[in-house]
Amino acid sequence: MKKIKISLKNLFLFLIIFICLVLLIFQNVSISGRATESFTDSNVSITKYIAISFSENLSEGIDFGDVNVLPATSLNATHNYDGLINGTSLYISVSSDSNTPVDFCIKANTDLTSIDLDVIGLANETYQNSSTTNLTLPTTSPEIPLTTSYIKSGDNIAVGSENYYRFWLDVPVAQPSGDYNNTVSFKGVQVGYSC
Amino acid sequence: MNLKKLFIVFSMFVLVFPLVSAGVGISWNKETSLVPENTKTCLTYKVYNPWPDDSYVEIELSEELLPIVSYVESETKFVPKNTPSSEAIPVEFCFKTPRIYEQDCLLFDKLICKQDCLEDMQIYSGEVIVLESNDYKSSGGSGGSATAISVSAPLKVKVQCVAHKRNYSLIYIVVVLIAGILLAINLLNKKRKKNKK
Repeated sequence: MKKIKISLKNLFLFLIIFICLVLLIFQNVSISGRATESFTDSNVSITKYIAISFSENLSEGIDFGDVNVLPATSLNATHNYDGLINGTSLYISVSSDSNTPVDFCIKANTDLTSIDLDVIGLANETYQNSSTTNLTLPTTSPEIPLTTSYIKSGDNIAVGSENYYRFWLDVPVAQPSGDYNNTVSFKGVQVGYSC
Repeated sequence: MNLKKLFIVFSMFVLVFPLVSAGVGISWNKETSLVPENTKTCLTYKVYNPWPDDSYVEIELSEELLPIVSYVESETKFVPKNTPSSEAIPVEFCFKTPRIYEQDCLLFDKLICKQDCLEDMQIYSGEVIVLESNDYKSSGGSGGSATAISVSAPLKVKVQCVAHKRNYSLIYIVVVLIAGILLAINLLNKKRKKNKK
């Protein structure tokens, strides 16, 4: 009689284990019906590519030369007018090995700053851009001040063409002497996208 | 007259072959990535340099994507001159999406959970940026600005919520273990009593 009682207890435990294992399987395995439809894949892959480059002079930086008389207003960058037909030689090219037009964005990392931490405010460093260049293009007004966030400069620059820039600097009368530097960054983005 | 011809030839040359330095190029075929939450995934972009000078580039992600990125191949990559888009060099970066959607859990906020996915889909919009890593420093009496160039591709990461019913697996496992232990004890006791007899 005792033997049967123990067996029933064990049987009950076996049953619990079995039920739990079945539930565990049902919980974690999804059962699907057999599909009878036939299908074929349709696929398209769209690739975009953009390559840009500085002109040689722009890659060397934006230089405003020596300033001997203060205040200096709308001081020209040294390469503002030394291109063909008195155009600028500061430009960015969109390679012909690109397949989408480009918008350009521009920013500066900080004010023009000397090693002694004197600054020429970023509002004093200005630019203008154009998709062609000559004596009057890019125009001298309005001069757009640089900012520390990217803003759109060149719009919809076509594949195989250039975006030309001129830069100017205002130096206030009381500006301490010294060398002032910062970094101006250009970013090419797919046309229509924000900076 | 000869000078004029020379000027025209020079002008044509400059117009056709602009005087450019090394540059950067990016090629991409994916602007949106749908990834389940709490999942690691990798994307591949390609860099190229169709210009006549070698260049070194770095790949970066814009700030908007940084919260979900676990790893970006960050070393400087050499891109030989005259590398066309058709032979662009692949650069991979990986990211792990965070767990952002609410779960209803019975134990410790982590166990025996169900997920209804009632919230709106979370989307991270940003850019993959390829920067030319050479730093050009200008010189001059009044100084000036160094210049840096980069090109970017848009990327939208849509974090997918995967709805699921409450998972009781843990409870089943615990019950199986307890029942198994009791069964083992019973069988051992039975064997011991048998041996005593």
